[in-house]
Amino acid sequence: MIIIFLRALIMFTVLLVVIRLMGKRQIGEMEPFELVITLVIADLACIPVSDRTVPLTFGIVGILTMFVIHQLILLLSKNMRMQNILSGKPVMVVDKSGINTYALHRLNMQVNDLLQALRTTNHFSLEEILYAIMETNGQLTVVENKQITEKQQTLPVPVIMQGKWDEDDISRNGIDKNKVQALLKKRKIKLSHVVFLAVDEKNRMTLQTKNRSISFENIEGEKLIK
Amino acid sequence: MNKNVIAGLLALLLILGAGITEVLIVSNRYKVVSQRCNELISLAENNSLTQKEYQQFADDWSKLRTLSELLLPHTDVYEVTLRISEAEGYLIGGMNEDLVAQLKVIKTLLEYIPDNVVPDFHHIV
Repeated sequence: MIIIFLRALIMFTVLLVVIRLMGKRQIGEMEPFELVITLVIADLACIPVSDRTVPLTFGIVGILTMFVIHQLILLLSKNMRMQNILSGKPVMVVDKSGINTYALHRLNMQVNDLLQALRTTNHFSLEEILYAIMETNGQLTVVENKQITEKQQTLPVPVIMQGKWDEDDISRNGIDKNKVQALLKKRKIKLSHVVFLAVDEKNRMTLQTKNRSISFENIEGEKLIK
Repeated sequence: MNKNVIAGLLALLLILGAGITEVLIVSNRYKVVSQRCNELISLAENNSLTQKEYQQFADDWSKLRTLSELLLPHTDVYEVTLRISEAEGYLIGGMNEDLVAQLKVIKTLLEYIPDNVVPDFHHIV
């Protein structure tokens, strides 16, 4: 028991020194290679601690190797091309035309994922932003639309995303699908062409189709959300 | 050069130095003990191995074992220790044929273990 205790102490000290030297950031801000190194280092430290038949030197050498790899990648990342290969490039997912579905597809993201990322930046409507960039560390950077002077007070409810009805939100908010279909028919828009359609309590509709820019308009008549 | 690059280079030198030292030291020390084991096999085949000579060999292994457990998986090291104890039993019991067989196993292990630390392709993969 004492042996395991002492081995754990030693490994902890080695890990702490190495991670301090690496200058680790929070998990959410890690580059892909940093995440890989963190995952591998955890295993390298654990196995020698718990398995007495494995020399501690095995774990220490493994951890030091991860440190060397980390430093090497940081050095290589000074070259833009290498940085793009190792960490990828930031991708603009929202621009003045609206959601860039091609960019989302490249990032293996859905519109829902984008909306979630936007909410974490405290933006609840696409009307509030001009541009959104997905950084290589998974964070979303947003350029706000300064023309919107009032912050969004209502939450736009997604009704259609990527050509499919969002049945959960529709039933939860009592949205009449027929009315929405009528709106689309009036604008000669097919359901399959709708990238994103959302409405809020003030009957403000956000609509983006495959071949048109995003539009924001107030719907006349009865409220779509009951 | 900033401190991170220096730290990285130092770590790399440490790893490479330790690795080379490990291969050289382990190989050389095991070679010596393996040669000694060879001599014991010859003596045992001639029925002239004494307990004192065997004890000397066991002491040599004991010293090597301490270094080995620092650098090698303990299961490999344990195997040799076990076999040496077993061979000692055969020697004390006068079971010469078993003693020779056991010493040959020990010799094979003493050749096999240092080979495992050499960074060959098949060891890496």
